[in-house]
Amino acid sequence: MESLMGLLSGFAVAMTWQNLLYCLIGVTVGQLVGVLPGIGPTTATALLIPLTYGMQPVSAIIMLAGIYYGGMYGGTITSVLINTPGEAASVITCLDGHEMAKQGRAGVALGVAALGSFVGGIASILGLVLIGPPLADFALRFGPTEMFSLMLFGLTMVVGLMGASIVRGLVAMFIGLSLSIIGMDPISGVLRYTFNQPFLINGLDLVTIAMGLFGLSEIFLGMENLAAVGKPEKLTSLLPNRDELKSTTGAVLRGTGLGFLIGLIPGTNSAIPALLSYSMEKKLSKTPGKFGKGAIEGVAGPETANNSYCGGAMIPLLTLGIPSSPTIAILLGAFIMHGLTPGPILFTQNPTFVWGVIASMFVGNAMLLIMNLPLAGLWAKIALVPAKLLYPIVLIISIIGAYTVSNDLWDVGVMLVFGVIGYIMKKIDIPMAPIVLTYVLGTMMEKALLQSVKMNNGSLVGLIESPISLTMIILAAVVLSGSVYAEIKHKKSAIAGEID
Amino acid sequence: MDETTNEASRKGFSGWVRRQNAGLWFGMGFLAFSILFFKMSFDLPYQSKLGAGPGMYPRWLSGLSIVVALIYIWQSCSIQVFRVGDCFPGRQALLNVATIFFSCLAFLFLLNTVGFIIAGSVLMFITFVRNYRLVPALALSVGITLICYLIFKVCFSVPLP
Repeated sequence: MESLMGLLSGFAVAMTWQNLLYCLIGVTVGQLVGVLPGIGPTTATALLIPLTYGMQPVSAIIMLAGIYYGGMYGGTITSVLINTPGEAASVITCLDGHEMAKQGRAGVALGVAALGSFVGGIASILGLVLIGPPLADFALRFGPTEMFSLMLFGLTMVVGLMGASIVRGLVAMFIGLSLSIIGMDPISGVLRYTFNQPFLINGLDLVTIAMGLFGLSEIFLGMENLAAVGKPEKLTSLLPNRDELKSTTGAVLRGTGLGFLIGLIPGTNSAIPALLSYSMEKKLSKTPGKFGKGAIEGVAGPETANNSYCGGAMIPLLTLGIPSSPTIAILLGAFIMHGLTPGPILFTQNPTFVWGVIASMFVGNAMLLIMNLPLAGLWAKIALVPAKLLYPIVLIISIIGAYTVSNDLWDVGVMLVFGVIGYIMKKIDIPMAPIVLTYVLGTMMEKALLQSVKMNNGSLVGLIESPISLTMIILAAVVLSGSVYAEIKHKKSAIAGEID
Repeated sequence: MDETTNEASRKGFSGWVRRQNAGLWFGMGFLAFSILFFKMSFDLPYQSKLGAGPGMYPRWLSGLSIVVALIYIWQSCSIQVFRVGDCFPGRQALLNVATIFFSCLAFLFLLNTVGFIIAGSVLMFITFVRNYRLVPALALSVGITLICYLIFKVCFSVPLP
């Protein structure tokens, strides 16, 4: 009941004309970056953060969250119509979506994807409404010791799940953690690793690091091959026939549950539920031979799962203050920039903000459904912008975005350096998402650890005395040893490798 | 035989570079970075009146970093070898990438002296001129820079020089 009242008050916030406008801008930008290959929601969110400095926090997060879930819708259109996934989560949709388009059923593929995305998106937000407040209440019992162990568990999940090799995941993790200690010590205020440079006193900015690693490195990669994409397939009817409706409904429901559950796990990303859903649908199908040749379940399941994932992934952020994916880590950075502390106290201290953002996600999903069905052909045409024109435009916008962080060329330089590092890392198969995630968690972890040590008179024993903390540490050890065992036995899932 | 294999078998400096183990070089860089951080952590007090000092966490972190770097180097040399010639593209593609990098450098050097419109136009022109004819490249460069300037300076009040 309390959640329902909160949600209703959230709608009052989300339905003001300013917030409706920001939500529309967010989902439109999200849809756009989803459509355009090479620019993902992570880059777009990082890019727009500096432009939200002057905005109300709730409006800013409504817009940035819109980019996040909007990106999931956009990627589908180009996957189906021109066989070019706009973002990682839609790669799997190409397999059957484009085959359907070649059979003259592009409209049905897009219709099913849009409806599945809407159902998955709305259901996962309902899950957030139901699970969020009690989980936040429970998390209020967490002190620094429990928070440290929880973040440690999150880190091991990140390292264990991302990338094809745990060693490369650890390399990325330690790079992120090492970068996070640059600047002022969180407890004593002592300057560390600043090399007497004033611009390093507050450490490196998350936005510039993310823009370099995800945005600029993608431009470098894109410039290697400037091949043109094909013409989009024509659109006809948008709805499946009666026979297909039954199998589609099952795929949508399964995708919803799967995406939501995976969203709760730190270290995952939206491509994982999409791939798992595809695999599950193929296994459950009576005609698995149809997959890859235009099976409607191969579109409905993954598209639902990646949208459902978005709502689920907001739960660890809003209730525990822990990011589960790179885009969520950027959102967490935006929270901090706007003076908000993500975590359990957010529900009690800023209920208007939290419920406003949650309510806006319902509105945003409805906007995306309307934008997707009638305008799919138009979005597909946007994807035909030649790469030789697109990438330089993205480059100059990224540079302006980096410059805006502190109105200084320093941030542009940092972005350039991380762009080169990201490009090299992509070439040698080192996952980049753990860098951003651990960079965000690093400072919080150190603070929690030092506070815990101080509370326990200089001892680390508190970490195993608290039952919650001990459970988290055991879980972390299980995940880490499981990943190491899998790597030694060469049994690690191929999915993780494909995703990065 | 594809372009990368051709280039990898090339003799001289270029061939030497393309035969190098990219993972090993990256690992060496990471190791140097970790050793630097580890050494610098000794300049920070390990303990303070409050308990753990500002040097405790960095010392453990960079120490573990060194271990991870060594494991990564071992793995790069024995289990999964990434040759520069195999994982990086051929000369033409690499030139496209270098164009972007150097256009950014040019922008960095020019911005505070000549302002955003000229620096931005130069940046765009360097990236466009390889793929468009001279006049369209120039027109696109100036046009896009001006549009960006108007959007960010006027609409978003970004203080572009």
